[in-house]
Amino acid sequence: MNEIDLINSVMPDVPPDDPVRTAETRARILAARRRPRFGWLVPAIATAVLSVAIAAVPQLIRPAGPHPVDPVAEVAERASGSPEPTTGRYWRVEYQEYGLGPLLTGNYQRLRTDVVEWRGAGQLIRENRLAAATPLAEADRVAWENCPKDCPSPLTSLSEKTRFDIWPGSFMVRSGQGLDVRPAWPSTGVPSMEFPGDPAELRAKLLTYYRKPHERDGDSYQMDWLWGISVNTLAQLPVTHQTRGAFYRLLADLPGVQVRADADTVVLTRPEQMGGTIDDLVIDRATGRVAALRAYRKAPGPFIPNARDLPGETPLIEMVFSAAGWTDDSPKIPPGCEPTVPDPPTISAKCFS
Amino acid sequence: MIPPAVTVADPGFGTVFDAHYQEIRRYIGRRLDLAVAEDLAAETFLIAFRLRHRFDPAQGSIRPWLYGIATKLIGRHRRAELRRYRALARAGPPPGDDAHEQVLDRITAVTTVGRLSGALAGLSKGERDVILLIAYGGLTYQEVAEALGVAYGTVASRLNRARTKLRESLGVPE
Repeated sequence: MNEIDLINSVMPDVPPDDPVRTAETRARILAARRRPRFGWLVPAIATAVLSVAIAAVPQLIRPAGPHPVDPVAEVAERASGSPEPTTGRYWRVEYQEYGLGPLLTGNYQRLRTDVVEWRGAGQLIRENRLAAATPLAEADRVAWENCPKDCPSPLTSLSEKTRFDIWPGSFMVRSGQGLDVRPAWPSTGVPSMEFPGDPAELRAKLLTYYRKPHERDGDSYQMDWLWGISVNTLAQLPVTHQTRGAFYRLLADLPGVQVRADADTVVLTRPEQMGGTIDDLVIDRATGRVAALRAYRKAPGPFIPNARDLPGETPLIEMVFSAAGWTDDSPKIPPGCEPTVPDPPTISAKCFS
Repeated sequence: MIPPAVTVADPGFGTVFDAHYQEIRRYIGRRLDLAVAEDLAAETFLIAFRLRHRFDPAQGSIRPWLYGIATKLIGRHRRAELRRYRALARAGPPPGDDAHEQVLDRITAVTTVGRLSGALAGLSKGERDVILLIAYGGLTYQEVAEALGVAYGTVASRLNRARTKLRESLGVPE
């Protein structure tokens, strides 16, 4: 063994990366192309100046609010001050979705799916590519390794395959249910580009779409619905920059929502979201755009029937966004996948490619 | 085409990130503390992304270019790197390190890591960059030359000096 091999063999190595953190890093880096030359200086200086100014003279800027230094105001202003071109045939959104799936009875795996969505021409076309599946914990890894050859696994059934799901428009408002329960993929049936840029007006506009499922459901259900529909619209539908800022203010003012911030992100957390989850909306401070959505378990318990318990705050799903914008490019739909039945929405098995 | 002003991602650069992020993170993480390494790995790709118009494929592949950026960033943390080697020289590798177990039957790992760390701390920056790009990155002499922006012969001479110093520190005969 020569000196070079010896260095490589004996010097301490690094542990594997956290895929979620890596995906967030990836999204942050790719988002940098939206910044101008020396753009890394501008947000840093702007953030520092804004923070110092707000901290020093809060009474001169705004009445005492819920946050002495208001990161929501910061990202809302950044979002509102960033007009964007609004032309193109499709609104295209690209993200990585991390979710839990059953591996064997009583075990879990974490799946990463790379997703591209096109909304336009009265359709939502969703391209899914299963990118990775890893055991959630050591017990799951053991089960994985002991899995017999015929063990059903997404890796064997979907590996390196792309799937196209195609829905007609108006999915968002066609049904009175499923809009605020993940996974919800709002389509193009609402004029989201015409939504107001004022938080109160935006809230009133959104509530015109609200239908109370049962008479017994009270205001808390309505707030759950408002949170869900807002974060999904923000993340997946086109809105103007003014509306994006209004959404942030609206969400921060919903009951129970907590705000925390670090150097890179502002996170709005709703700890009592319907379905027993804690929901995070992660906003990139530099761009004012949505960086990720997350949902955690509130308490220990099984995720699938007859499964082992998961610890509290286990991430159930995370969507890390890497691109959003208008495009004239059409999705490349494989032959035989074109939608033939406009309603109800169709998901065709023929659309595997 | 998606208008650049709106698009958040660059599919081409996303591919570069997916292909090389792990190895760049690992390279930096073996020279600096992991917390710093993750930030520097991200900064490496941010810089590469911003300067991507300067990259000329005719001058070599993108991999040494990324390693070169990472090495320059590590250079800003030279004192931290040296402190790390000196700490390892005193205490050996952290408990549970896999590499430590693999060589246990050859030589006492603590002693080896300690001596190696002390020797790495004693190299010049240029010598250390060359030998660690080869050891950790698996770069060829030509790729190291591209990464550091030096001549091929400079790489060879720096490597030769570094190996001599390491052998002396480890007590290995020529």
